[in-house]
Amino acid sequence: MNTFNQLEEVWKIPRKITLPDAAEIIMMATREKNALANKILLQVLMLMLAIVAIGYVLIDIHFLYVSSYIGLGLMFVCVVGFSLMRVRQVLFLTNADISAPPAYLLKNFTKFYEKQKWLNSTGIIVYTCMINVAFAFYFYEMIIIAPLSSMWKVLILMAYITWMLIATFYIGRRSVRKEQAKTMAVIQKLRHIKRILESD
Amino acid sequence: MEQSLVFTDLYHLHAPRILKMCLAYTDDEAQAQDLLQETFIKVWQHLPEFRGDAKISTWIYRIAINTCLTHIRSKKKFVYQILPSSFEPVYDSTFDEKEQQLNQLYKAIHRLPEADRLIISMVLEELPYDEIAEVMNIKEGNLRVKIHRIKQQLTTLFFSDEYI
Repeated sequence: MNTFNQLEEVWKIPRKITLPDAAEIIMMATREKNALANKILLQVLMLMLAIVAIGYVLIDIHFLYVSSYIGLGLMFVCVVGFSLMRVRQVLFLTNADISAPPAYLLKNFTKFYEKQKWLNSTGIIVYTCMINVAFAFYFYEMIIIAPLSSMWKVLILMAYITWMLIATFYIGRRSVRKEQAKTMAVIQKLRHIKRILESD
Repeated sequence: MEQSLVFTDLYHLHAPRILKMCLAYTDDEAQAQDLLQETFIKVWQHLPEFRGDAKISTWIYRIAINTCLTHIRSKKKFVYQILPSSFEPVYDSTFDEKEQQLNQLYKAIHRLPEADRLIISMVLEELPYDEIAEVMNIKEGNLRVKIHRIKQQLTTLFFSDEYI
């Protein structure tokens, strides 16, 4: 008679697999923690650098038009605002309860996905519009009014527009697609598990 | 220093069981090792936050299950190697019957739905039903019904496939 007890006996057969050393795991965990800390530090440094650069331009250049100050102010708001939202996203994930039951995990991931979707759609549209308006204000004095030849003006504007288009429609969209696909895959898997657990 | 000692004890006590669960969850040995490492990296990082609301084993199992469930299988990169001209397949005569049975059992488990694989590996590890119910966050009555069904399914799968 074939019974489950026989399977229990088979399960007890030791499998030839070596476990990594506990010290190795601790080392990896420490390395991972340091890598995350370095990543956050780099992001903060980049943010500080952007703020310092904007501050430097504000102090060093005496602008004649208020539009330049408005432009720089908007740039500051965009950079700081978007960085803070990204930080909130990272904190949401790092502060999540890692031992929560699958149903709570699904709820958390769904909430995260909604926020991620908002940030990657409405958030990015608002950011792109604001940053372009900021540059338009800034460029008014620096390029349009400035004593530059028409050829230089066109070249600078073309370079700016090309970069903006590449950043928004190629680099940005690609990373957004990747990010959302990953979260969605986890959600779908958790939904499937939840359905199975709730059945019977 | 104290955390290292506690962690090492926990690791030696639970890692072999968690690895077996990961092996039951995924059919890829390397991936199972990755899941085990990821689980214990989280255990190490969050150990100071463990409040003792549940048993430590329940807490570790939950982390392991969440790690398995939120792990998205990366596309395998196949590496093609040109075999040497003198290459001939080698048949391992030491591959004993017990090992074959064990592989057959894992194969049968892999044919179950993901949640069932996790549940049955805990059953096979002889975890008390109330603890499994707590880990999976389902009612014990519901769990018992599930376990009964999974046991039947697994037994059928194992013996129908035996030595194929």
